[in-house]
Amino acid sequence: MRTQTLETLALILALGCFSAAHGDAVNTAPATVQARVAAQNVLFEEYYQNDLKTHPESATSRGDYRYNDRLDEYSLAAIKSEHAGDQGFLARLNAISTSGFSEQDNLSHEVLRDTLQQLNENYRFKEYEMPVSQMSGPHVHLADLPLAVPFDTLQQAHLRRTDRR
Amino acid sequence: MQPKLPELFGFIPGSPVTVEAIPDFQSAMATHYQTGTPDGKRPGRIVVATANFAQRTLIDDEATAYHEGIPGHHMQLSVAQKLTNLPKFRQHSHNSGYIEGWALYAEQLGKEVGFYQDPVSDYGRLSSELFRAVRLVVDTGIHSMGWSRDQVVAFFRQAAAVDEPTIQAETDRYIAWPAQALSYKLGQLKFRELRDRAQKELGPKFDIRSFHDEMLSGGVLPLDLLDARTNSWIRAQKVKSPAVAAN
Repeated sequence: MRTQTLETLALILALGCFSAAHGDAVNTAPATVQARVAAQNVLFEEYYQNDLKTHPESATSRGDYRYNDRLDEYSLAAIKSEHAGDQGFLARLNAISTSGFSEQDNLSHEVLRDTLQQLNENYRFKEYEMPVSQMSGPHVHLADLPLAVPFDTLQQAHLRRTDRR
Repeated sequence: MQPKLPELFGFIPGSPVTVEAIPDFQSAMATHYQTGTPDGKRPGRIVVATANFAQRTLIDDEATAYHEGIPGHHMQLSVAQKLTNLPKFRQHSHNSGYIEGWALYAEQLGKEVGFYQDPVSDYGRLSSELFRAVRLVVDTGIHSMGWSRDQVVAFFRQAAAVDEPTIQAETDRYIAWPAQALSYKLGQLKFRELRDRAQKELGPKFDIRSFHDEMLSGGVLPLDLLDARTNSWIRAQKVKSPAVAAN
């Protein structure tokens, strides 16, 4: 219930807070707690939707079947663009002051910051240059994918996904 | 385990789970858990390593059941999927220390509610814990001390915690996957530390069910944030009316 109210509020305030979240220092300073929480929730939702879109196989395994016709992308260009996207999210998150936030809102802020910083570290250590091991990688995930897809309703969608590559 | 859950938890999600043999294409993988969809349409899957089965030991099977299933991964991740009051990314966030620490901690919960009745199984529980301690030695051995593959295998055999097919697959796993194997023991020690801290601070006000609910209800957290969150939970419990404890 609480989240629903916040989401509605977030939508109403989305336009107003968007520039604030992008870090216009003069405008952000006086934002109320309510407005900053709303801006943060907009950011969370955007981050989550972007995550599903960039990792369509994870979306499928989470029960979101909108991207069932796509495979995860392993090209260097895609990895660089994902990294740039993550840095953008981190900058926007850091521009939101958590002063006066409830414990849960503050914790969400910290969790996302930790996640994004970790992704930055992975990128810095070039983790993407080691996409294949004996335990994981596209060769294993692709073979396991049919087991994570409900074939009863989505067989056609899945076949389209395989056709793409 | 299911009938015993009310002794350990307040919130029990009751999501479906299946047990299946590992497919051939995953034969290098260890027994693992794969989440189901939040609507339960696709159940959680416990996938059991069966490659080279004739040389595998069965003594740690009971511990593995608690680890991968209930109250381990399946329970924890099912709770996380149901936290609809949290931002969606937190229902799906990942942290090995938390996830694997909880699952290893969950192995001991079976003991606390009276399972591992067969001494062989209880030995399996202990050897499973020893196995995770051995990882602290060999993973850091490989990646920080320059150990060779042979040194790792020799140390593993001497510890006598796992069978030979596991030793071989595990050694290659640590080489390919630096530090991931450390998360199990380090995470378990954190959950134990937090429980001891809460028990000590709260005395008669400590309720194991609320403690476990608290460990799971924030979703997957980095261990430092889990630690801070537990401290504020302890503070909140302290000022709560003692009526609950008196019951």
